[in-house]
Amino acid sequence: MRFFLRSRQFKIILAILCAVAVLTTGFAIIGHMSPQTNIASTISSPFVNLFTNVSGIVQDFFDNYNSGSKLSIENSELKSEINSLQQKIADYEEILEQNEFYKGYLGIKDNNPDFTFCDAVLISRDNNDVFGGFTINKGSLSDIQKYDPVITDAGIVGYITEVGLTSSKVTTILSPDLTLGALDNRTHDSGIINGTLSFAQNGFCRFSNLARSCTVAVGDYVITSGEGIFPEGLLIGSVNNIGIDENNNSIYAEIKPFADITELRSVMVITSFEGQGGIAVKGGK
Amino acid sequence: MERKKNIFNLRLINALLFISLFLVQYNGVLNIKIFTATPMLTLALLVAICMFCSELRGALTGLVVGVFIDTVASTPQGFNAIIFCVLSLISVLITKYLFNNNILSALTLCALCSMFYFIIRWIFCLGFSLSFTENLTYIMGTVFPSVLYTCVFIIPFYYLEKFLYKRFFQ
Repeated sequence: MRFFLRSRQFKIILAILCAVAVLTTGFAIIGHMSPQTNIASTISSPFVNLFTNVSGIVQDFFDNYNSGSKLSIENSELKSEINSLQQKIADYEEILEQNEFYKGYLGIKDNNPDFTFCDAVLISRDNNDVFGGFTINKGSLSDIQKYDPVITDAGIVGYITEVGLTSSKVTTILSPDLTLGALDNRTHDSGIINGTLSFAQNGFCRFSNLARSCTVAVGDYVITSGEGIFPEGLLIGSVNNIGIDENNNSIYAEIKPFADITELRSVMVITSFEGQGGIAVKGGK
Repeated sequence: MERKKNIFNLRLINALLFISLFLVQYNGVLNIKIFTATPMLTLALLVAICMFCSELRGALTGLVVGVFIDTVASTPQGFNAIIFCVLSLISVLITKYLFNNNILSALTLCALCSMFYFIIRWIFCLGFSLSFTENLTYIMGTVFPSVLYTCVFIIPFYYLEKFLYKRFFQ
């Protein structure tokens, strides 16, 4: 062991480790992926993307099979009659799905003409991340920058934390790293949304710092207040439960996000909007 | 010539194994979780490989695998590259100078490495942003089950690597 620690091999390994540490620290400060990660990402993202698509198709097949076994029997009887139409239906459904996808965003775009969108597909998910962080297939080549909001037509998903050339990492609203200003849509009570471990495990986030006199009720919708990195008026989720915080100072609400964070396949990144550049209110880091 | 060919074949098989495990672990659809336990498949394979290779090769393999994991993992960038490089080097050194090369050593080494990985990850990513109770819940409810789950995979990987090593070098 001592011989190895004095050997040239050990010095080479140490030098490589130092180089990697310096490079990554330098690039992390400016919010970009380090060169070695960027190269690896560019190489791996097409394969990961392909594999995710294939496994998605396989999962869809099994889901349909499990949930609709009765329907599939009826379907098989009718199949002979609609064979010639199948291809047309498949094409139609694909177009319809695309149409639905974009129609959802059209409403948001109509209400906020200043928004510029970039559509992206989820290519990988870190299963070790309890807060559901994931990677999308668009990066700085598509004008995506650090802190850009990520949404679906249902509501907010999170924001961009790391940008590579062809991929970006997203931190979700379930994470304690993200804190954003929010309002109750009905009562206009304001508070902050942040994640905690216990809430995230059930797919919820926490709407905290609500005044004790607030009139927030279960079922209310919560929207962004416009403070921080998110534009004003985006849907976050609905109030699922209300409680009093540990110090007995304020009220908090359990929020069920409208966007299903664990089942996402495609998202939109808002690459620019009026008032962009607000300082991110950060929690843990 | 024959030896070079064998080395190339072994590296190719290991690279394909890593790619497959990487895709299984980090694809956006398939979920290999059991309740809160999520295995580090790539780490288990890395430990198995490191039990049969030299220090420099082990460290470089760890570094390359770590760089690829950095592209998708929700950790600070460079985290996996450095941790995997250090862990693979430690695995090689422990196997060479401290342990016998057998399945029991592989299990112990895998448990130690995955525990080290999850604890360091917890400190860097979560330790300061969660409350005491949540930290405790995370360690007991996620870290320990994940370590155990990861150790399950070292058994087939160890025997596979042993077989490959014998097949190509003996």
